[in-house]
Amino acid sequence: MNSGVQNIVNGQGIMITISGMLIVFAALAITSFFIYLLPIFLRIFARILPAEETSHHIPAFYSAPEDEALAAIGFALHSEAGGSMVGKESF
Amino acid sequence: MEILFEFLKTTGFAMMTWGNALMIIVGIFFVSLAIIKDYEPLLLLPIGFGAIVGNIPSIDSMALNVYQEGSVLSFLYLGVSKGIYPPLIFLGIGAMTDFSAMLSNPKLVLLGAAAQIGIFLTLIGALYLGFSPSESGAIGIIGGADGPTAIFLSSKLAPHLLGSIAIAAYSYMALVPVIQPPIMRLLTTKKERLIRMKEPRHVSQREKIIFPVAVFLISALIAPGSIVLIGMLCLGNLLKESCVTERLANTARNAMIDTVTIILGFSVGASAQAQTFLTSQSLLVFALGALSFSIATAGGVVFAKCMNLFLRDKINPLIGAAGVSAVPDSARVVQMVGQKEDPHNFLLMHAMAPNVAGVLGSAIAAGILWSVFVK
Repeated sequence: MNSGVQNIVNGQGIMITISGMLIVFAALAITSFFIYLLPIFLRIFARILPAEETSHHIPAFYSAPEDEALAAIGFALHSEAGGSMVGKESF
Repeated sequence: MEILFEFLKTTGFAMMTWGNALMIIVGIFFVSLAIIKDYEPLLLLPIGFGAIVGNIPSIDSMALNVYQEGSVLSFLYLGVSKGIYPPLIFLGIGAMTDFSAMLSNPKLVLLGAAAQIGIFLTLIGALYLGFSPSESGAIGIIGGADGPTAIFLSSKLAPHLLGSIAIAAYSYMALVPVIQPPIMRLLTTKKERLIRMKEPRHVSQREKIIFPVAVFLISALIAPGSIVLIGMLCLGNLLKESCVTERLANTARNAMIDTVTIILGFSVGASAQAQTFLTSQSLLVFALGALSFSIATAGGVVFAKCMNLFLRDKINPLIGAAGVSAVPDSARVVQMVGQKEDPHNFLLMHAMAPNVAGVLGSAIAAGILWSVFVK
């Protein structure tokens, strides 16, 4: 191997270094700016489209006898899972 | 009797060279470092044992070592030489990384960029010493202090240097607590090391979910070469933060990353055969790797000091050293050095921000070098 400054010139080492660092800085500076803006956007978004409020009324089955309540919960879970008891993830 | 003599000629003892013996000692040294000193045991132990296995000489017709076509080890090594294992490790890293520290203080992301100066200055050094441009790019990435990234890029740009680059990268990562503190102390004053930083703000779950998708789009569009590594990192993180694929995230951050780490470490170690590893080029790779790592550390610290010139809320410049990735070891080193000056100063959370930004930065740098040098 022959060492020397000419190798750096031939390999465009300086140009690659400058442009490489600029690109890395640009990518991370944009990321940084995005992270800075994200909570602001989310606040505006939340004002325009507020999250759906959950109903606070007490479901009827709370007052129903225990067996009926369990049956209702079981039916609801079964319907949610699309008729099968497999979890949400699929392969 | 003749059969016995023929058999004796095929034993490891008969074919052992001084180089193989030396590499076996190096392997035992790595295993000892992992067990006795607890230096990166998850990596050094399989790499060290792999080096022992890879340096047992055998006859060519038996197809035993990683470089012989059809051997079992060569199939395990395919994941290294084709760059399959590093993205899988990135998936696991993504599934175990919490980006909250970075999201709560976005300016610290820039420290992860500054530390990548080690990669590019080492590239110049390698060119100066006579390495080809693509070899220089692969050597420079050691400064990213990210083993999977170093393996990924060297498998693409300089496969013949993969063994020495991987071992140099992992060795220096293991030596983070030894290499970084003197540089950090040299470049900072006592007053700077005592700076206390503001508590990080609370980060919402929505931010954490949006972040991996956005950062992937930004990085991939700017440097498409980083698609594989950053894509897998962000997928892993999305699995974690979405809260709907907990089972997949668990597998990625536990079973899968452990399996890949074992095979990766072992096959990289096995590739470090004396015949291919003990060359003057490998020694230069090690020297340049040390230089790269030191420059990267210094780059992060100096940039943090420069940022302080413009900031109202000063940052402790020690956290700049964590920009070299080596997650989470370099962040722990920052905490350790900071606490030596002030035992009540907790810098770990702050240091995690440049630390994970460093992972992104080195993957982007790898993508750039791959795009520039790809033939």
